[in-house]
Amino acid sequence: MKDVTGKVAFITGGASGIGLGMARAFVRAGMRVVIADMSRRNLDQAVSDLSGDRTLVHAISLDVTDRKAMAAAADEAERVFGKVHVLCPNAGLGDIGYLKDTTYDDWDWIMGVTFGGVVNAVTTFLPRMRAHGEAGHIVATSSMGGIAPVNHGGVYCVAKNAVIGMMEALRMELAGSPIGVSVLCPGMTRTNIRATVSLRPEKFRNTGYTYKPRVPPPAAPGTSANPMQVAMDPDEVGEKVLRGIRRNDLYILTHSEFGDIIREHFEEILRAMPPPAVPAAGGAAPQAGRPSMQTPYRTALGSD
Amino acid sequence: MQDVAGKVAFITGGASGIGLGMAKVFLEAGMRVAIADVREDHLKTATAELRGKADAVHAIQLDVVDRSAMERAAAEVVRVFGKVHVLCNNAGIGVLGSIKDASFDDWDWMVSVNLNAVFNGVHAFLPHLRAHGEGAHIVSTASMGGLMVTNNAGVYSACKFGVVTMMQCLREDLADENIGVSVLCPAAVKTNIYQHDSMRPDRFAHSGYATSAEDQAQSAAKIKGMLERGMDPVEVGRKVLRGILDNQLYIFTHRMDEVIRERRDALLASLPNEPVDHARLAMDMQLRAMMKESLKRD
Repeated sequence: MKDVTGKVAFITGGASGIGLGMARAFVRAGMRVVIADMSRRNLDQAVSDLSGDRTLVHAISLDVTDRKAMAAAADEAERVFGKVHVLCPNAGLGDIGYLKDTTYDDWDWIMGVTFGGVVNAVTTFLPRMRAHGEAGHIVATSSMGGIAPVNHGGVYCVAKNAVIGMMEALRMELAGSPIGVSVLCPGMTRTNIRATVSLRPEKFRNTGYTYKPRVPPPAAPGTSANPMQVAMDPDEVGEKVLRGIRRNDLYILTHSEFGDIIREHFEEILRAMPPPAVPAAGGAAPQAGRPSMQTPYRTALGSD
Repeated sequence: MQDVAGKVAFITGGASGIGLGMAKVFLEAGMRVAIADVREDHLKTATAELRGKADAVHAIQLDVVDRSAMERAAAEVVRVFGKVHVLCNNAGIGVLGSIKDASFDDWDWMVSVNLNAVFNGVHAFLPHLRAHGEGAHIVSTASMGGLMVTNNAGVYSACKFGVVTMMQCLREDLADENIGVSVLCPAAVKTNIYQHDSMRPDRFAHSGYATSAEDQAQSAAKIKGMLERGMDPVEVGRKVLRGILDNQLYIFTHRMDEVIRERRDALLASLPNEPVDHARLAMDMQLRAMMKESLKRD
């Protein structure tokens, strides 16, 4: 989607953190933005922060697990701005713990928001985006922890990798249509994602994550006392998302330091594969799944 | 697990396909096996086929989506065989279909069976796998579609991506408890995974895949044709047993390195063209270590 001026974005979890960083970048680029968020207080703060201009920014209070509310939010966005062109299912929860300690409530809550919220947004908005036929884009927020999990990330990492698989497949489905698809995989970013722990509803109160109080980590050598000061600014993530939308990149990777982690992760997979099949006399080696296989990987990089 | 003779396995989707292949191989290796399946007819056929080993086989009718039934099945296996050592989360449905046309019912049905039910198995069986201290193993059936996407299987792939991550995390969780963890990622295997329409529960009746019965039959015939040239499930079962004995994280049936390399290279090419921020990398690693420390039980 080369030209974003005047286009409309809908961002879940848009009132703080990376969602707000995207909203700022979009408004700077001349877009109109709907920010949807659980927190009414953050919404009010974000609207005044974004420009205070109600013709550019509209706030909706939304729980992404509520499908009826998601449909109502889509109606409201269309009523206010006409059409939605850019969908950013970004809301996610930062409650983490080991899978071995995970209860059904932990699973249902974290999966419901972090993966289910993306499913609900796409299932609700995509038919509307296809119906108006104009250029559009979907960018869902995953994490580097989706690509290469950290084990205490548990359900969070499961949800984030499911989002990656979903966006990869959706990109292939929509190739050749006016709608591009990306998945955002950031590393450490200066957000309040841990604060989402306090949003846990009463019906999911039985948690297995009853660890001793967390100790704040000391500063890394050569940095200031607050570890979050070395984390990426959400505004930088927002600008990188905007660039990824314009270029139509499959993967929007924001942090340059993950090369070795990606290489090691894939090396372990490749090492585990059986050796190449020995070709039968005079024939070619059998290739499972070929030749009709399509994938989105060779066209993952878009262009300026 | 270095020795499986006399040990007990529980296999969901165990009455046909890859699950039955595992059951046969486990029995050959001297194990006792509980096969759980939602299909009564398949359980009957499988039990008849395994008749020669009747003392070592127990069949349980089970819908893996039903959490209390899963917990009851775990208790039943322990009642019948005394202990359980190997959990095989293998049940799955192979409904092909796009994300763009999927209804909420399509999503809910697929996610409940292909992703959430794997967690149900882990949650219900983990206490029993730990209880005897003899060592244990968990192997979940994902797919090559859990490591790469291919055409017309978006919802399926999203679920299988999740299963792969779940096993990657769980493996580290349980490394110091003598419980191994594997994820099976098969490509084409000669199974009946395309037979699913009769299994779709009424509560998920509304599908967004508005294809005619004719189209469906055609698509099933196509998959059937492809899978019939696939690997024999017993051979897959042998690979799974090897994977358990060697505690392999990934168990593959076919070499599909080209696509995996393409995916890796696409990710690497997507890294921002900026110098590595070493302070941030150091802090990230330190935060991971600190988080690990702070999540230790007292």
